[in-house]
Formats: sequence, C-alpha cells, structure tokens
Amino acid sequence: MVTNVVLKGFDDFTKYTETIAPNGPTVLFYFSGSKLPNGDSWCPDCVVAEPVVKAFLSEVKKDVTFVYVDVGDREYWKDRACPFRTDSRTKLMVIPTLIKWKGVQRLEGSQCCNRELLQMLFEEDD
Amino acid sequence: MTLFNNYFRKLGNFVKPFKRTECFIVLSKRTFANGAYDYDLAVIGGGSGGLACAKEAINLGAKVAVLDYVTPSPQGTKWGLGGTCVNVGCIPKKLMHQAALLGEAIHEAVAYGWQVPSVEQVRIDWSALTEAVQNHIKSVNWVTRVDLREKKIEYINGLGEFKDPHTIIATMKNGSKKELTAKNVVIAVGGRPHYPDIPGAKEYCISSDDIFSLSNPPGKTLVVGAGYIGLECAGFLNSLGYSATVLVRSVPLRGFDQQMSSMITNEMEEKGVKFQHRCIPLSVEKLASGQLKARWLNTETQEESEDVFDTVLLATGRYALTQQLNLPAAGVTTLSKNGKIVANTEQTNVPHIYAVGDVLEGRPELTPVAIHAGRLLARRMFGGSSQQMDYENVATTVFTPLEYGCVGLSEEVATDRYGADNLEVYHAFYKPTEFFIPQRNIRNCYLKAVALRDAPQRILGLHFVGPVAGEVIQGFAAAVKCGITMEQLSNTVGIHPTVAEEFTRLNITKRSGKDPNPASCCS
Repeated sequence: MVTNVVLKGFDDFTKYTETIAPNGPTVLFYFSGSKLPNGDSWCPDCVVAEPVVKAFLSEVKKDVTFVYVDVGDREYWKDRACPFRTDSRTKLMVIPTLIKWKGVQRLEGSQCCNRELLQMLFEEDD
Repeated sequence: MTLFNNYFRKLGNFVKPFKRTECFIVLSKRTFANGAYDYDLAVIGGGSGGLACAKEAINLGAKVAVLDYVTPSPQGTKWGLGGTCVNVGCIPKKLMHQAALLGEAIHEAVAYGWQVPSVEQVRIDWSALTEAVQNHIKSVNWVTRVDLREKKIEYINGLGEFKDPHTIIATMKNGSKKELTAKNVVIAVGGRPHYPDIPGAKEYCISSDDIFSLSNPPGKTLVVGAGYIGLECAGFLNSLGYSATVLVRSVPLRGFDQQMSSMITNEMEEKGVKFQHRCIPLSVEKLASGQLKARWLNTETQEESEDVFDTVLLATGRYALTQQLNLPAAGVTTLSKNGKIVANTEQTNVPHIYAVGDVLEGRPELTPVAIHAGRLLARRMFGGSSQQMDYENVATTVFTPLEYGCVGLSEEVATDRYGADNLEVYHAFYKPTEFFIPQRNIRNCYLKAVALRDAPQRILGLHFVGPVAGEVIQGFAAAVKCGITMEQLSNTVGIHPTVAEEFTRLNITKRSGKDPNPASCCS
C-alpha cells in the first residue's frame, strides 16, 4: 500500500522530515526537477524515471510512503549551494535520486529506471 | 572451449539427457559454456578477490554467479557483501586510525594557535564513532550490491560447498539450499580470526570481527597478538583513550623487518601502550563485575601474570575457510598444512577450479593483491590473456599511530639471500617539519634503503616509519618495479618540505658507522 505525499522545495522537505514516525512504514524520497507547464519535468532523466518508479510502487505489497519532492527549477538546482546538494540528509549530486529515509539505500539517475534495482530497495537488510 | 569439445558434449547430452531444455543449435554459437552449465563462472566468496574476478569476467562476456555468506562470529557479529576488507578489515581499520589521528591533531592544533575550548575535556564518543563507521560500511555494501545487479552478476547469499567438481550447493540463512553448476569455479573465501584453545576464548573474547561494531566502549583492553592486526588495534584504541596492553608471543610483526618493527613498537610504548613480551594467554574468565580476568604465561621466565580488563581482543592469526568447502567432493587436494590452497598460478590441481586472495598459500594477504590477481585470472579464463600475477615487490603499510610503509625485501631477508657483504643499507632519522611546533616525538622517524652493494646499487627494499607512510611508499613501489637504483634515487630531486623527500636525501650507510641523525633540515 503506497501513501503518496508531494512536497515542493527545501523548507517543505525539512518540515516533513520532522513528522516522520521513527517506527512507521518505509519512507522513500524521490527528488525530481519541477514540472514545466506541459506537465513534464525540465530534467529529462526525471521524465523517464517517474512512470517506471510509480508503476513499480503500485505493485509493492509492503506499506510505503512515497514522497515526491520537487527540488525546483534548473537554475536553482544547478547552483552548487542548493540546499538539496549541501544538506547532509540528502547530499544530492544528481536528479532524479531515490533515497530510503534513515537508510543507506540510494539510487541515482538512470538507476531509478531499473526495476531490479528498485526491487533491491525493498529487500531485507542482511 | 572449442566447437569440437562442444560437439562431443552435445553427443553426451543424448546419452545422458539433462533435465533442463537445451538448445542444440549451440554448436555454432560462440558462448563459453554453451548451456551445459548454469554459469561460466561461479565465485565462492564476495570479497576483494572474488568480486574483482567476477566483475572482470562479466565484462568479458561470461555468465557469473557470486556466493557470499558470513558465518556470525562467536560474539554474534555479522556483516554484508564485500568481504573482510570492506566490513571488518582495511576500511573500518583506516577509519578508526583516522579517528585516532584526528584526536591527536586536536591537541596539536593548540600549539599552532587554534583556540580549542576545554581541550583537556576532548573525548571520543565510541557510539558516534562506530555508528559513523558502520553507516559507511553499509553504504558500501549497498553500492556493491547495486553494482552486481547492474552488471547482471547473480548474487547468492548462501554458504557454498562443492557437491562435485562442477556443482556447488549454497545453503541460505533460513536453511534452504540452492544448487548450481559452473564451468569454472574460483574459490575466494578468504579467512577468519583464529581463536586460541584456552578457556574463555570463544565465550568472552572478541576479535577484529567484532571491534569495529562493538556496542559498548572497549575500555581497558588486552590485545593478544602482535601482528599488524593486533598492533593497529592496540594503536588506535590507545589513541582514542582506551588503555591497551599487547601480549607478544615471539616478536612484534614477525616476518617484517625487525628494526622497523621495533621503531613502531617503541613509538607505541612511548604513547602509553604496554607490551608484555614472550607471553602467551592462559585463560580468560568473567568476573561478577562483568569485567574479564586474563591470565598469561611468560614463556621465558615461566612467570604467570594476570590482570583485569574490560575487553580482551584476540589477534592471534587468521585461518583460511577451506574446511567448509567440501574440497574432496571437487577433487581439490592441493592444501598446505595451514589449510590454505596451494596454487602458484591460482589454478588448483583441478584445471577448472581456481583460488584467489587470502585463501592462497604463501601470498601477501592484501586486498590489492587479491583484486589484481582476480582480474588477471578472469582475463586468462575469458579474455585469452596469458599474463600472470606478479607477487613480488608488493608494497604494504602497517597503520599504527606512527605508520610503517615498505616495499621489497626486509634487511633480514636481503641479508639471507645475498649476504651482508653484497648489500649496502642507507639509512637516516628525520624530523618532519610539522612536528616541531607541537613538539611531537621524532625519535622513531626513520627510513632505510636496502640495496645491492655493486654499482649502480639496485634497490631491494625501502622502509619508512613516519606519518602517512602509505602515501609515501606507494610511488616508490612503482620505482622498485622498474628496478630503481640508489644512483637514480640519489639523483631524484625531492619535494620540499615533505617526509617522502627523505628517500632522495639518503646518503649515510650503515657500514660507514656515521651518525644517521639529521643535522638540520634543508642541508
């Protein structure tokens, strides 16, 4: 069962993380470039990955909170001081990035379109 | 393999049909295993050697499976994919060594003018340290698994053993079993810490398997063993503020250059590490307080001693994990008396079964050795290469607080091999520039070059004790590989001010009897 949350910008992201229950369901953050008027993101890799990620999640049996985070427009993202890049909880280098909250699991760029890798996000830790 | 062999194997299929369906048009298909086996290569062991071999093999078009499994330590510690180096070896060791050095640096900073509030109260938070280290290790486990999945290498988290020369059974954590066949097998199972046969060893003692994730601060620690694992652990524990005592059975760093070994143990002693020489452990018992009472015997004086510790860390050697492989089922018989596999070109007595890494007899137990050998092996198996691994002149470093880096022969081995008359040993003490202001101890900053006596004096071994010894020695390893001579080294201009430049300044020989202490720098 997937619970969907949509956030926009770094402040929203920070506020949301404070509400995450420590023993609650898995929370997956998906960082993506903001959407243009035509509905697609300015980030081509994000456009390709989004449907694959959403389709995969619809098949997941476990309880998962999927948080879509709009990081902003291209200029905001490209700035090296962008808080999504500098904050130690995200440390984004690439978008799209999928991060398992409070875990080490992370998929970047084209890895997000790989179903096998998406599967690994839900595998048991050793 | 050739089309010819493929053809005869296919004929065999008619006589003894396999259960799985086969494609019989494979005669013309350029594959390696042509469907007779599940995999072209099965690697038992997902550590440095195994993974390097697997990744190189998949790049060359082979179908590869990697088995990896960690049997929990006697204390119950286990870890993920990546082998000893990533989980309980090089990586966490270096991180803890770095933590120790940073602790020392905080105090040195004061001498340089840094205003450090309450510097006397600076303490290590053991939980924060182990959490940071373990988080890093887990992220490496993750990245490794992602890498295997992206490369389409099958990862089986099960303990592998042979059923027959081409069949392996993997037993998973839940007891279920999986059988697979492979045309080639590489044994890369590495080793685990050895536990001495004394009362209390398995019940109360820890090993390097446990120290890097220890849930409580180690406190006052007894380290049994003075090889590099014991010394490195005692070194960082002491620097982090935990009292460390080392039981030395024979000599520290047996097999290494003993003069250099004494330099680093002197440094450790001067920093507060206690050494009990010529001592072997007798027993470890748990007291009502929860602390451990260790008893040991001085084999020279026959005197028994005991003391109470919070932790006893056993570092008495490592043994290869060959027993659980059921090697007889594979027909592999080339085992040494240590239980390691004898395989000079990584090939066992069974042509399609190979071994790489710490499991090999007589080879340096180092990650880069396993990685390089694993890659070259894969290229010979699937890439038509004939290049063999060169195990000579492999550089290494002992990461004690004052580090020891070396490449080539120790002075003892060189003397044995060539005779003292045919050698010239250049040596010097030196004073790192950065040590003056905080008044760091320079007494053990020393280096030497062991060379042939006849011109141009080819260098047989380089030895360096000092800060960042690993960084200093690495480049010289390439030079030694090229056959560098003292003439060439002396004509190399140093970079100033560094500690590495001291190699270019070597000019005093042991034979001359002249004082190897420096007058001053820049002269």
